[in-house]
Amino acid sequence: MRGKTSDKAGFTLLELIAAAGFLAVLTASFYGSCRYLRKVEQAYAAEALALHVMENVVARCAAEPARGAAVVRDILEAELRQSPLGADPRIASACRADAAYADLTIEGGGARALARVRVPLAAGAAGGADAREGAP
Amino acid sequence: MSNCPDRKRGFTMSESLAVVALAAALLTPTGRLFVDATREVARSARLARQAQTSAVLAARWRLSLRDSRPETWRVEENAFVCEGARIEAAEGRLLFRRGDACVPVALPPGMDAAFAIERPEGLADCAVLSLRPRDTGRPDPGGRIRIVACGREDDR
Repeated sequence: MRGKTSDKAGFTLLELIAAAGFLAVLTASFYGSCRYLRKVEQAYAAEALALHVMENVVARCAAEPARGAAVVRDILEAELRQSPLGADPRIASACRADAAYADLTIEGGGARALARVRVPLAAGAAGGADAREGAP
Repeated sequence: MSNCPDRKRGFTMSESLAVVALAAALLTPTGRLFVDATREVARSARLARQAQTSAVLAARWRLSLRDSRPETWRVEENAFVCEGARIEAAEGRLLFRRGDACVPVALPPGMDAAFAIERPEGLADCAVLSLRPRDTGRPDPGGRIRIVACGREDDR
């Protein structure tokens, strides 16, 4: 490090700026990775909870012999309300029904479907073609 | 810094302090991020374990109640009783008893179980198995799991 003619006592300003820039790049990429990790983790948690809600909805719908769209929608809303997802204002439920089936969806932020299930409706059940909520 | 004209000078104390302060300013949020990231990974792993264990529990819970009539259901202290079956919450697991047979199923790590019966008006009765995180003093709003099972509805 120390010669007779050029006695370098420390880093040059250029070296320090380069080091600081490198550190800044590392910090920025690490920050981005952490944000992505957090986002993925939150999405995974929300999807797992939404699946629990849908499993409960399916179990309850199976016990309703005369299930129409209104009954199915009420069950979905009740289950969503009682899950931890119910406290999140970005989470919404949607029920689109025709005469034979009801398509139930739990939507996260940006209308992204967290869980979706199709429930057969009882023939001739009251409210069988109800499509009030989330109709296109 | 030096009397020698061609000698490259080192940094002064104030320059060095400025660099140290800059590095500290960059590293402090990074350290915090690292701690957060570690915590998130641990939470993800716990959620994955919870999801696996609760799926097994849910299947066993619904199977146990599938052929029982809701009129026979009752909740006792740390136990749910239905026709011919008894489900007990023990330390870290649920015991599914039917006759002499007993099937233990582990609870998700760090969670306790509770039973309830819901009789919503105009809808089928349902038995609820609630899994809640043990009181650790830390808030974890996402940790609650509700598993619903319905029985045999003969007269509906």
